[in-house]
Amino acid sequence: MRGAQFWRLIITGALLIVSLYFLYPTLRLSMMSEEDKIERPEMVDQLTEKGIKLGLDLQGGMHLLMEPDMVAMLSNNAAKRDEALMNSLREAERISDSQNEDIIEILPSVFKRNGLEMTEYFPALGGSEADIMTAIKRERATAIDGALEVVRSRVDQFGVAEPIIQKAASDRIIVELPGVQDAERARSLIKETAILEFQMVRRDKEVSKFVDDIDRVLRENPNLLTAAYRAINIETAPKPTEEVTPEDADIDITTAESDEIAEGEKPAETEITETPAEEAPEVAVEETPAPDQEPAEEEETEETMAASELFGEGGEDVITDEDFPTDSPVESRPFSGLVEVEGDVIMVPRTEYLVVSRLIAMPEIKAALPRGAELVWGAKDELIRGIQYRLLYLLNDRVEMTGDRVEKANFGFGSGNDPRSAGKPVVNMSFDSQGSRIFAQVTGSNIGRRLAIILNDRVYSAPVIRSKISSDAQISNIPDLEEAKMITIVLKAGALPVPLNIKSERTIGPTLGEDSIRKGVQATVIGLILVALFMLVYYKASGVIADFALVINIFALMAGMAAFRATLTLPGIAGIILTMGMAVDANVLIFERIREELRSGKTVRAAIDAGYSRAFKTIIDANITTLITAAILYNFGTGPIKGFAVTLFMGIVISMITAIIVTRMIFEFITSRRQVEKLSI
Amino acid sequence: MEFLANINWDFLGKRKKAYILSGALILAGIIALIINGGPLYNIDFKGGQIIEIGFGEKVAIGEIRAIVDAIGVSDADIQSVGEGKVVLFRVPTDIQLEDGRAFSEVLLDELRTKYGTDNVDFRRQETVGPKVSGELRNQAIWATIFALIGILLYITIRFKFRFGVAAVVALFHDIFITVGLLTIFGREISLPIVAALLTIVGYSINDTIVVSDRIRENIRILYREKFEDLVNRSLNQSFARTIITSLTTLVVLLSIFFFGGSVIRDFSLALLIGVVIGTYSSIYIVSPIVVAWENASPKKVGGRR
Repeated sequence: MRGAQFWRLIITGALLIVSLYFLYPTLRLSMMSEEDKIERPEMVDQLTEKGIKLGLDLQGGMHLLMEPDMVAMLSNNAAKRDEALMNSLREAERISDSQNEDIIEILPSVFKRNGLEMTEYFPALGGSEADIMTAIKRERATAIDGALEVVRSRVDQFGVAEPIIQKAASDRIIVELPGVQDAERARSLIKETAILEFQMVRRDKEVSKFVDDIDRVLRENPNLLTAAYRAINIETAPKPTEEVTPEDADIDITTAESDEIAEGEKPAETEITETPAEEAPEVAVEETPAPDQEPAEEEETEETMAASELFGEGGEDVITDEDFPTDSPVESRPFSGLVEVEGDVIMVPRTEYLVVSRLIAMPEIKAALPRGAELVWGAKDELIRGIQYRLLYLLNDRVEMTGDRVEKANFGFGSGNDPRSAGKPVVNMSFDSQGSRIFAQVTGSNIGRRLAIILNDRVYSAPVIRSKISSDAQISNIPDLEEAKMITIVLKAGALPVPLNIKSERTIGPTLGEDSIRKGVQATVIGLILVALFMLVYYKASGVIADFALVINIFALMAGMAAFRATLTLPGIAGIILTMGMAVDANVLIFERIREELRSGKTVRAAIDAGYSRAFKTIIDANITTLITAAILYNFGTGPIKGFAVTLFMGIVISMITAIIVTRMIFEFITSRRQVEKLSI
Repeated sequence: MEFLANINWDFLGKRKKAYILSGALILAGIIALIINGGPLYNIDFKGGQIIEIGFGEKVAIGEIRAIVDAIGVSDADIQSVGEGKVVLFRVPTDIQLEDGRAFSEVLLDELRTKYGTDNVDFRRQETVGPKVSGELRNQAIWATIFALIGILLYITIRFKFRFGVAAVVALFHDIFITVGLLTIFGREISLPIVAALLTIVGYSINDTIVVSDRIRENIRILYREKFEDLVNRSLNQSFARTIITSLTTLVVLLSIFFFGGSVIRDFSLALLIGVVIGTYSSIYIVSPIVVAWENASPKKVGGRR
């Protein structure tokens, strides 16, 4: 007996010391005042690293599960990208989503059903279906690994503490960003494919001819415009409240009409030549002259537009041709009446953006494009003479150079040399040697023309080339410094090898996390006090022993969390509270047994011995089944659930130790020193 | 203090009443499940998007709905919780807004414009695509199956097969009634709820084992006694412990339910229901099954050596 007691003492002592050791950083951190924390950030970091790790649901943050966009990857690999292919790919994606199967496995059957031959579309990947599938899988694996690296490097540069970036299954990427506040920014940081391209802008004459051509096409085929309006009304169902009302439009147009400064402006091109070309200034659209269109026309269009949108909810049958302009100006200029053309830029009022984007996606309009040209939207809305515009550029579809050649990038504010970017966020890039050669050649042979800087299919700026430039370029027209930082990071880290689709996302705001911690702690404390009181009342002095064990229990559990770097989540807190209940259960089992033994006339010593030894087996049996469930939960769960399983598992193990060893030691201690006649139980 | 000591209640004699009670609860659950077309799954299992936004003051749902409509999303489910200061938005995942911006971001922008940045607090957003929700559903089902098999095996090894079967029947009973009641209360089944259900499995089995353990022990000591009386005696002997443990656990769960915050309220509700049902089933479901089995084919009950 003496020997056993000695070991119990050692185990209890060791448990306490080890617990204290691991719990110290967490306790120290929670006792630091706010000022202290600000003064000694390195100490906070150190303590946080060794303290209990909080889950995303408690500290706030973002969890993303992403898969490569296989439709994009496959269509990029296809020898020809026609409608039939795209439809089949999307169909395969839908089936893959709903039936939970790998899209690559589904491809052959979908292709067969649609009468397509995989070998015809992917000849470069292999001669047989099986070869092609293997090749696609290999390609996907490479793309995933590449994407993982790119995402990791971007997140590192963005500066997130303890991010998790890992591959899950064979084709998934999981990203966890604790404490991220701006979800949209973080999302785009990770998802941005970041394809930087330089393309030449087509000349004025070509642009105005193209606009005239669209007018002609729409005149010959008036249904197209109707279809475009119908499409946006059905698909986005805009409500009158969000639209620019006819009155707004009136005011805007009147301003434009009577704006003398606008009348007196020089054309954009002239304006730009005044600034040094090395600065790569952006085009000064804000200062371009007012259009020489009849304001009446413009008004007409606006009004008709708004009227048509008022019927938005009604859908197809409400909007008929009658809703559209029938009088001559718009009829003769169906497209140019919607937009304004400024030199080589088409300015689309924000209110017409949706309909114009529908129009230019139509095959009839695409057919009117000059050879080797494409239309690309500007990156953001621009406020010009009181009206929000989106710019539309006609570009050479030939890509002169891509962001792969960017060697260095940094962000900051534009210098004073260029009035338009001075003091505004910009990203400066320099190219590697080959990039410099290409860039020098492109700029050298296109002096006087505009070069569009395109990021993710949006034109950020299109400066005029004044002279041959070799190694540097600048992206301006960036809304804020954060965005400039993002662009820099993304340029430096390189482009994603394949676009990523977010399959699931959980983002917790910081306030909810704090709220959860506070309430969780509150619930724990209240629960603990209530249980402790009950034990005290019901088992008297023995209850005190059980309560003591309970406190050690929580103490050791928290220390265990810190020692194993386990993550504490909200369900995890619930798990702690639950194990408190179960820890008490072990003591209840023992105490009830002791009472029974006492009732049957045993002495105190004998009753305690019998109580513990009889209850021991039951406690083990009962707890092992819960351990089985906790282990299964751990394997099946994600994030918060895993946290629950961890606390449940550790809690049960610790509660068994405290119930069997710690309380027994105390009982032995009391009864060994003097002859106890009556046990307070 | 002491209560329930030296009781001698006829638990098994009331088993018919218990069957009726269990039957009624199960029937109510079945009806609720039929009316709702199965359990109410949350986005974890059916896919979708939840956005939770807190406001500085009480907001009118009509106003919020007008904003969502204006953004161009017509099938949003908008619900006010927490004294009208917190609003939950449920929308499908495949919303396509112009510009490809996320709905949650456009929504936040609009709400901040309307109510002021300081009055709009982004609390959480959860998006689960159809593929992931399908997987989570499968995982949940397999986790439950594995947990049940694990328990059946353990009890078969430690006790006897019939105890294991009785325990697993009781577990199905507990889970089914809990899911049924949650459905009746209009609560959704989410990932944390599945975790709660598995915890109930662990908890209920815990109770069952304590009782079975007592039966096994008594078989050795009191082997002359009629099996039914022996089981009844075991139930009486462990009854005080069963009730006290349930009570302490319930106290703790009530504390989470009332003070733990909205995020884990459903979770604690599921556990509350489960603990009550689990305690009940360990007395009124497991033992009667074991007794019925023994009466059908005697002398095979565990532990008699």
